[in-house]
Amino acid sequence: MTDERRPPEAEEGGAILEVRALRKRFGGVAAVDDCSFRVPRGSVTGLIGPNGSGKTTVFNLITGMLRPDGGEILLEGRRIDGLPPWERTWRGLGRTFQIARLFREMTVLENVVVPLRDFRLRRMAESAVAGEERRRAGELLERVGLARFCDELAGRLSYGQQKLLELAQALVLRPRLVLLDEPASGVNPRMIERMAELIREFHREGTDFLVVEHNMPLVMDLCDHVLVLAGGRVIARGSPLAVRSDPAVLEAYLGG
Amino acid sequence: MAFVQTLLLGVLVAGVYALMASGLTLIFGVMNIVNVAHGAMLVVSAFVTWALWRATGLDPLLLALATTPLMFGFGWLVHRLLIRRLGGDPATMAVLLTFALAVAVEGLLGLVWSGDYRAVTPSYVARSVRLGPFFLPEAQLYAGLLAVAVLLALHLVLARTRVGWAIRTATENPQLAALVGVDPERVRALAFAIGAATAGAGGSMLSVLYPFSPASHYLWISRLLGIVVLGGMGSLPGAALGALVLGVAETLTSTYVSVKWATGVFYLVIFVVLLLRPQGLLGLRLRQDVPQ
Amino acid sequence: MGRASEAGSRAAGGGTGVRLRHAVVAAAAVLAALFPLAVRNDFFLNMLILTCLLVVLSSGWNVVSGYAGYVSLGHSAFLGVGAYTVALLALRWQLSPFLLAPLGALAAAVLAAVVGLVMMRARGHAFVIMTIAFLFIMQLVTLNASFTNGSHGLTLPLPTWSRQWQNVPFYYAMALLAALSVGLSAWVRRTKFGLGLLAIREDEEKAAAMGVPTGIYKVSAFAASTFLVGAAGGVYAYYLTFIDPLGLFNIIVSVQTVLAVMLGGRGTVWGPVLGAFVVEPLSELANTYFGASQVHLVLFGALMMLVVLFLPRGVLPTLAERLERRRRLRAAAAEAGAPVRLAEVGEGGARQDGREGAMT
Repeated sequence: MTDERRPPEAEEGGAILEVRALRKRFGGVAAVDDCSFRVPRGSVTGLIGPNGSGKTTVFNLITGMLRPDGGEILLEGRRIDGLPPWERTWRGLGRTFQIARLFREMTVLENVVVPLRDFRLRRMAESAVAGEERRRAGELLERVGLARFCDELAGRLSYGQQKLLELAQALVLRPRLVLLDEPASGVNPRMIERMAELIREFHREGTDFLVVEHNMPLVMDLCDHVLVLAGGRVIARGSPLAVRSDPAVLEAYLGG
Repeated sequence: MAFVQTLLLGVLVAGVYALMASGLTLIFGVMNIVNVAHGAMLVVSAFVTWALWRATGLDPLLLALATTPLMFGFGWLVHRLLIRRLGGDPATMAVLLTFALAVAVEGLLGLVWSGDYRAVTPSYVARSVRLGPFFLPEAQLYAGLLAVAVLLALHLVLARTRVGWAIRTATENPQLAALVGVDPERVRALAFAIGAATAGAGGSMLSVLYPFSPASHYLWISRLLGIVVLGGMGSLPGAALGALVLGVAETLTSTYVSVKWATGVFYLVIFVVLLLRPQGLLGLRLRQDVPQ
Repeated sequence: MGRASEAGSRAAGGGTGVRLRHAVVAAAAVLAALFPLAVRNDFFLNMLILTCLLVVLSSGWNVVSGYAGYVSLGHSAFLGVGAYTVALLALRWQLSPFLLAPLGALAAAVLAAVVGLVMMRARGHAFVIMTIAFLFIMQLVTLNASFTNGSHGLTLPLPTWSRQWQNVPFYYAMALLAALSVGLSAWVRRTKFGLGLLAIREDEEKAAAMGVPTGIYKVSAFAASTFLVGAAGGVYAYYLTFIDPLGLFNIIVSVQTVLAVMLGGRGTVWGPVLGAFVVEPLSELANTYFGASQVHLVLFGALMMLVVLFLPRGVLPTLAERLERRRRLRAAAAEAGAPVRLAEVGEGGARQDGREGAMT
């Protein structure tokens, strides 16, 4: 294993996440094609691109829901491709889904306390809703404004609330990097504002974010670094302003 | 010589297996439902054939003309009364529902005709045709030929008629089917009924080839699942291919290993194929994968 | 009990609810312990022994199929594995099957872990079909292998205790296993492990993404769900004194198990118990009044169809939901004039439709 290998960039405090020459084909179609990028440490990075450019596939490859056909994924300088999804989560990765996915028949609180931090047999036998994790979950639910629904079934929440709950789920293990798949989709403007506020708040406390989003004003507002994906590879990167005026980006959006 | 003889018998039985499995795979293709009651439907048809044969003395293979429409109606009823009402997680619930149906049918058959083994024995059942150095049992030969004929008819229905076109579209491209106004509920009912109808014809053949009892449906559904899983769920050519491979494999096993282990071939195939190649040789993916 | 009802009892002043439930369980335990001493009736004792056996089966099944959502139709195979393990060892070592029951449990759990490792890579109907195939493979192997004595079956040593005790020791053994099964199921439900299993049932991918090691969880659940079934197999074999492959690796036992849990309530602690206490006596009644096993099949088949179609969540969750809805309505009425819909609050004022899957 090359786990301990630290690339020079990381030593300079550069990248929290690095993707190198990532490839994934579905049938004959290359969904992700020689895709390389870095998510700078301490950033909120936007991942944008036209529909079908491979954004969600990239997320699925990073979190281990899909196996790549080739390439490397490094979290804080350590290889994580090849690890099962849960181990990637234990290494400090969190994610939300484009359409909120919850454990609908479990309570809001149970939804948040589900994960283990690591695996030891003894921990499987611990009481489900107790101790430090219970406290952490309560605190998170308080902050996203769902504390009073702790004992409700998650399936009963409104869609906006479900998105907030998913954010709390992603944050419960204090991840280093959270991947957000369209946090603003399907929710009303006030909710989007609230979501952006929360992201900024958690970012100040030390969690980095990689955000896929179609809502451009939100991306411009939230992100300090933007990656543009088209045809399964990164075609532009830089500050939101710089990317917005990049001719290659315009062409990808209009031509693709 | 003996090997070729065994092979020939295997091929003959494969024709019948292919017909029996065609309905199961058709239903899966259209509805994404594994009809575990397919074996029970075969046995129902076999019992009906037996009863009619005893009452009228008509040729049991000819009686397929009666059992096929009868089982078509049975299938249509089952769909209307049971399958259509499924909610929740339909794939798993459908297995439980059709399994329960099979058990209930087994009990009913037992109540009506007792749990004993039956066999239909027309005059030619012990005769065989000589073909050079080989011999072909007449019952197997006629049943095999009839099975191939019914399969061809099924193929023509699916390939040449409007109904068939609707079924194929619903299988291969559900979105397109909805777009061009194919009523999905009707297509499903038809597919289920046609699937049951093939079990009707298959059951008449079964009654001549094998002894059967109400509890035989476990054996038959295992055989058919093995065939369909190997060939690939939802694929008709796959069912034919699976039937050929397993028909021959079963015959070889019972000749060269032991009759006792012959059915084990099917169980093993179900297991191994679902694990190693869930889409079988030619079919859809039955196994929903989970992240590893 | 169901989630909703737990939430309900907490809201309605938790402590008393829990205490009441403990009192009921304790009373039931005392009653169960005294029963054979008070009532010397072979018919009832036999029925209770078999009911306890079904409690073990259904509570076990519930762990892997109710909590984790992996529906198995091959669970009775593990009863057979336990029975044969214990019977063979008892004959070889000349020991009481009661003493050997733990080894039956171990054999079942180890086998479950091994096949679980393989089978649980598939879910949905592929998994169900594999469990059926597994049961028939086990049946075929026991029928054809020489060390199991094939279709001739095995005869166990007769009980050594005084005749006046008759089947009472079997009752206590089986009742103990039933109590342990319910205890195990309740304990699993309360732990991190159990919560992870529910998460796997609800959305396995998401559970994995959140940090639930799904593989280990599923295999552990399968092993846990068969451990006490294996022990019960040993006791059952001793009780029967004669076992054969068709009787022990019997898919109808699986059907009864599934039916009991579906009827009582999948994924609840007490649903499988309730179901067992309905299904097994029903089966005895059918035996007494109709005799023929065919009636059995019709009865179970028809019941299962009815439950799958019309009561897919089972009695207890359905009841709990009703109660919960009533409580909600009353609470809403109490907040006079300001009917609060969950979906409307916590949204920063703007309304969002809270219908299921509004966005999906």
